[in-house]
Amino acid sequence: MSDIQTQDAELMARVRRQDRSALEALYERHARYALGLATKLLNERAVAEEVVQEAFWRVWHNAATFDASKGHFLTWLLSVVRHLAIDELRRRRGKTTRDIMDTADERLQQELVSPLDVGEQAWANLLKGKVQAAMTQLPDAQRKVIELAYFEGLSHHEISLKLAEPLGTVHTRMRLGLSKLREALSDLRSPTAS
Amino acid sequence: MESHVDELIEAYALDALTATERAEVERHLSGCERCRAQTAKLSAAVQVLLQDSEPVTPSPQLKQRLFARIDADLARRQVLQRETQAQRTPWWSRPLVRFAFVAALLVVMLGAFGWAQRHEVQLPLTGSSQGAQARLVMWPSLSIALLTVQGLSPLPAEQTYELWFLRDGQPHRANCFNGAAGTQTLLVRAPQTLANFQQAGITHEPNGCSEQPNLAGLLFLGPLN
Repeated sequence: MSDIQTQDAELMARVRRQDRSALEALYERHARYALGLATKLLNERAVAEEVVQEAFWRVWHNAATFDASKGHFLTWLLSVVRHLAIDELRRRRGKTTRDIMDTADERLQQELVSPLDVGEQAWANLLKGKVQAAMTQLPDAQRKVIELAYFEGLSHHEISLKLAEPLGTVHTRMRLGLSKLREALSDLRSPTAS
Repeated sequence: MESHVDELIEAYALDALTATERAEVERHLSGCERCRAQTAKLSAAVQVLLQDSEPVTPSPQLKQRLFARIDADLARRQVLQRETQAQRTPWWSRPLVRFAFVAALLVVMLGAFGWAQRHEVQLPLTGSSQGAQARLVMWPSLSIALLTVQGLSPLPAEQTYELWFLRDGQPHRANCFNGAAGTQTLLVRAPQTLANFQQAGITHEPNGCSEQPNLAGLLFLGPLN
């Protein structure tokens, strides 16, 4: 674990004991990344701030579910932000969350599978650059299905309808796109990566 | 291959399945090491996408709103914690129970001395408080007694009534009290066991509790036997 990850893990241990100052330290360190993601997904600053507030509230309340051995705090926080933002997008589309997916809270229990060493601010820009480059290099059709699924919260059925493509084609594009993404990001793997 | 979930695994990693489909995949993953490993790799790649955004500095109001909520939650938890601790305190160590225990013990002790040993005297009125009465209920082997007075007017704050016990004609201070409308009963304490005193008296002390009785204000005086 990097120094930042170790410090975050220690702060989260304190948050579990309802240490307000520990949560404040995590907020100061990571809130701008959380708001960056929420703003990107929702494209509306005020709602994005509400989502970030709710995400840190859940960090405070669900600190016991965070397992530092499974991944970095920032990844966990950004997953929370993403789920909340996607829930909001789905709600705007007039569908209850239950129609499509379970709630963000339930999905949080399954997060933190990432073996990638992400979150170190010193190389966060490098990481972001690599992700952006990897996405740019994807064929448009493959990048589109990934973005519709992960950043707009559409199900594979909805993507199929939206693009007027067979479901099998959507699956194929997802498979090829993720495969290329993994390949492009393979040098980011930590020594513990599987 | 039919038994695996290859067709859905990328959509699962991208969080693009319906709840029913996701449950189906997870049921399979719980028993398939191969698909679990593949899912972990895909999910790892997908989670890196979370980093693909520009940081945005939050407004000061966001932090204020969040920590106002946190502070309210902490206050609520502290109240709950105090209530829980109070409930966990053994019943025998709670203040009210301790008081009741001591009171009960006192009653038992007094009972042990026997109602028969109780001694009551009516103190004769010597002053000008027409219709006033004073009665002592005592246990001679104890230094406490119950004083019941009736018809003594309430006094201003700077004045007081004072009870004295006399031994060989010498007054010894007991209690001061302010009087009350109607009947007033007080637990009073003598400096020694009551068997050592022959008389009791009550004075009006215009300057508050006094070391020596104000003889001009003597209201009651009488023998204890």
